[in-house]
Amino acid sequence: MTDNMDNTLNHLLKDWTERHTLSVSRAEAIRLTVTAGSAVPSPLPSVAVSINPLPLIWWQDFSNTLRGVLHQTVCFPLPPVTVP
Amino acid sequence: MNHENGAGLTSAAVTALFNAVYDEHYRVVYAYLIGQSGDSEIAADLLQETFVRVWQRIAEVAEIPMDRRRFYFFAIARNLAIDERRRQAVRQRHLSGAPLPESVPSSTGDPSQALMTQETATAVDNAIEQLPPDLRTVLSLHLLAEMNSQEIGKALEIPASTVRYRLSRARACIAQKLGKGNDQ
Repeated sequence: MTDNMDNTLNHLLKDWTERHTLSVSRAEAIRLTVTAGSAVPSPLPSVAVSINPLPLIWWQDFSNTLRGVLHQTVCFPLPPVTVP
Repeated sequence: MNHENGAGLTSAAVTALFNAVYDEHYRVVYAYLIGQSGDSEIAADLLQETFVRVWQRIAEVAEIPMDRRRFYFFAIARNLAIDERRRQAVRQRHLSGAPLPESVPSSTGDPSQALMTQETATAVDNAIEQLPPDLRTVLSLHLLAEMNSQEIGKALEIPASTVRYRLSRARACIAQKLGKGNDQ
């Protein structure tokens, strides 16, 4: 490749680079889509090893759902259920 | 509100870790994906997919030594690019008469100059798209991520001399294709 061809190719590749560079706004949009989307970071396995909170959380959710239904049905204020 | 996750990281810490990882690696992963896919739009979509997986496995990423994380991201990106190539192959078998690529906007007011610029840009795009992925990947990492042959070699786990050879081959292939285009 001659120097002239080399320079021309460098110029064309520079132009290609400019046209294909990811814009800052697009990169930010991707970041926001990822972090604000429905995807949730996974917990480490140590959660399952140390304690298993599922039954307690299930009972708390179930109790509070039931409380909400009762409240809507009879309009009677009931205290929230908390797991000890 | 900050939630504790299993790693003892608050949600704010998880987000901060993800942001740091994203800021450090997104350009390189994007350049790698252009090299693998040959298309900037596909590469941007795959970049998002790659980092969705990183976000979902952020606790796992936190345990990877910082100098090894890039290999982990490249592995995710490579698998996504392979899946995308398979999907494209299926689409191409079923579709015909695909639309032409969008025209490249020109900054000059001269229509003939604009046409020439657009034709040249399309020819360069096609020449790079037609490169084998291994040549295109080193070229895009060099151009888009501004990495030298040592850094590319480390990232791809190949010798720097191989990177230099591939860069030289890529340039020669592009020059040859553009030369043929001019002859026609």
